[in-house]
Amino acid sequence: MEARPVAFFRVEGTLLARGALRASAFFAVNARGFRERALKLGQVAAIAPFALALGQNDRTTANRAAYMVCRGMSEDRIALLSEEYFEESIRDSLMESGIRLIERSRDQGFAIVLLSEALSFIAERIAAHLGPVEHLLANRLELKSDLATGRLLDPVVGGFETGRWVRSFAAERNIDLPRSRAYAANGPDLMLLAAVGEPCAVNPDFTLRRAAKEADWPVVYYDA
Amino acid sequence: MPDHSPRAVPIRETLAGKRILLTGATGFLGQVWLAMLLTRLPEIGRIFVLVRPKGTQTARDRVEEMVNHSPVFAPLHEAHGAGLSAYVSDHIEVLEGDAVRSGLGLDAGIQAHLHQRLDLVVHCAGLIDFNPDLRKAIANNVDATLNVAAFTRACNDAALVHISTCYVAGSRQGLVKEALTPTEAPTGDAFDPRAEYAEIRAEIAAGCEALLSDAARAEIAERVVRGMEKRGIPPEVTAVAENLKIGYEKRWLKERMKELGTAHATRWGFRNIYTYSKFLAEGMLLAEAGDLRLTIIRPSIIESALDFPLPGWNQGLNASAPIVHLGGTWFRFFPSRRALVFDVIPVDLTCNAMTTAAAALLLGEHAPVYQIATSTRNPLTMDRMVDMTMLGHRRWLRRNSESWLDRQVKSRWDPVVVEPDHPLRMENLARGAGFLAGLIERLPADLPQPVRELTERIGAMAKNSGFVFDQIDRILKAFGPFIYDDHYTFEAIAIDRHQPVEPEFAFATESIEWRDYWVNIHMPGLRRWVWPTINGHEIEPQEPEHRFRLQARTPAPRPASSRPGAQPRRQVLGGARQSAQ
Repeated sequence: MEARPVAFFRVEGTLLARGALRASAFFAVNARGFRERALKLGQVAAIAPFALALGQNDRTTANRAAYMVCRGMSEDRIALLSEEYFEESIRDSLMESGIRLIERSRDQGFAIVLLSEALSFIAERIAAHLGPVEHLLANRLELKSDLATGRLLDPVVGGFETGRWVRSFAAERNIDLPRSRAYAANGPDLMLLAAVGEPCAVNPDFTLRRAAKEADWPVVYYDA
Repeated sequence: MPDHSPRAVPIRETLAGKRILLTGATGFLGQVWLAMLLTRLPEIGRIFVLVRPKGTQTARDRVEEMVNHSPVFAPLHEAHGAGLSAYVSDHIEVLEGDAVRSGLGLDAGIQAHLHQRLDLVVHCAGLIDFNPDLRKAIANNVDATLNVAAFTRACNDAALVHISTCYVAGSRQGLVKEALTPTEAPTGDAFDPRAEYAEIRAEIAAGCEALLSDAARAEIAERVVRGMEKRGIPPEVTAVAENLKIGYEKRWLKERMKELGTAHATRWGFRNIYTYSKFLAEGMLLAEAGDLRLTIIRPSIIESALDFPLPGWNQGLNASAPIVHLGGTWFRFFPSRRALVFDVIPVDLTCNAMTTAAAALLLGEHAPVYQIATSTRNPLTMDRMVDMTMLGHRRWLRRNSESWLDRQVKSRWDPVVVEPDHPLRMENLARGAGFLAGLIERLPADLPQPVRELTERIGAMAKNSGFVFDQIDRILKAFGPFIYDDHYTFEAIAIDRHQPVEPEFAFATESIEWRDYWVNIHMPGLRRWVWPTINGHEIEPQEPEHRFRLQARTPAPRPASSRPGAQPRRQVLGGARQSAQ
């Protein structure tokens, strides 16, 4: 069977401006019971400076730190709060321009693959909202006896591992990477963009902007 | 060694043409099962539905009202439209009777007619109040069972399915085996059902006679005097005094019967009169069964339907509805044990199991008892149930409430699971509120006006709150056995011996995804079909496009034993106008 092209979209940056820290703050403020909420809000406040500092270059560690807040929360609570977070904070914030990029790729015959730093419970709702998606790679919480341990399972989306994952994914699914495209916004997504034949930097941060310029990749800016 | 490997059960083939007598068809479980048979098994021969008249309504009136207005029958209305009356009338006959009475309260000719024709009797009727008047519990749960068994034994060739409850296990801990132990009480003491039955009946009779004792009369007379004083009525208004006396006599007797029932229940290791009476019913049934082909089905807490007749369909306030409702109020401290398993079973899965077990019984492949439960197959802990309840309420409040306080504060007002002896338990809160109200009543009368008004307002709030706390405390105590007293799970493997050929009758409890069920099906179902009654509202009425009316059918042939020349009485209504023909 002939290898087929895919369009990879890094959700954070192309569709959403917000990252993991805001979601983890939402989970913290809605943890079970007043005491737990106070504790987890304190955790978020302590983690926030590090997560923001790490964000440019080490989003893997930043995401791991942010989601530690979920430790001890039940899968039920995380799943149902994720639904609420999507409805109240994400659905109406998805950037129309990014959605149009997805639709255009779909119309041009590309299967859509989403890569998101959000928890899988949130990312699944984003994917469902955007129409047919071939695959979703999102951050998954480790669960033991239906409670989150606070650790993320590998691969953690956000860092350089995403680029490595794309190559193994392509090999498994008979995907033609040279004919595939990718849209991303962050420095650590360099490997993802470098893996495909049609990379595009969208609202790039400083690191990616410089790399895109050097590699002569197209750069797109939008904020809605 | 007996072969317990799963065997295919062809339900449609086994039940085709069969004639079934069903009691309890107007109750939650009975209604769904009746609708299920009518929907999924049009090949069924005939379902004789035993129904009591109620008030001015005949049995026929009640069945017509049920089929017309109960949402359970909505799928049938949709499937058959204007043809529903003919379809249902072809499949059911309404019998006006009462299982509490000997012969099920049926005319001898009708009994004889049924004895010759029935293949199966399904006894679903019973009183499910936790602590009713003992007389009613014994009459409806024990006497009725014995009457049904006697009736079935008199049939030429009928088998009996008896619906009991898992909670005949009583007060115990650990795994409850799927076995019949009628001669061993939960306390571990030897239990003689016949002796207990005789004793309880004698004590009920003695209790009724005690009403005539000097002590009872004096107590009631004193209550009448106090009652008249409280109402400001002079003692010489004898008509009022007489009415009060009648009311107090009834209440006195009811209180004595509850005390008696509770004493017997406690003595044998049961938390309430209901479970004690169901255990006694099982014991008496087995003692009197003889060679009757029989199986006993013990469901756990029957709750909202997964799918049939409608996702979320539920009825009545006797299961989790009151405590789940509490989770949506300002009530905060939830007495429970986190790891305790809350065993609920959707009503349609219960009906699937009933149908499968009934078919197995007719094939002679049945087990003596089936525990229809989830606690060992797909356990749901109290901790998880409380959390999902809160989350379900949260979602509803945030999406639907018009009050900012509800959306932003109450939606986050999570109840916490605490030990039953928590200092802020309801009992103490009620006491505290009562103390505060009493304190305020004893304040001096000469307080400045603004202070007096404020204290009166606080006093009224304290009094109302005390009342509410007391109500909540009663609910929690009634549910104590399920939420904190007894930590057990129910073995439920007998049903796995039978693999229904028809997949719609599968008993797939492992596939219940509790979060989806609890938050997306069960709670919305309670909100729509049950909670309105807590607030004194009506459930939304169903108005069918085509009204159902029981129609006359071709009369059945007269049994050989009926007296020649005797005119049959019009007791079999609806589907067969002529009785015993």
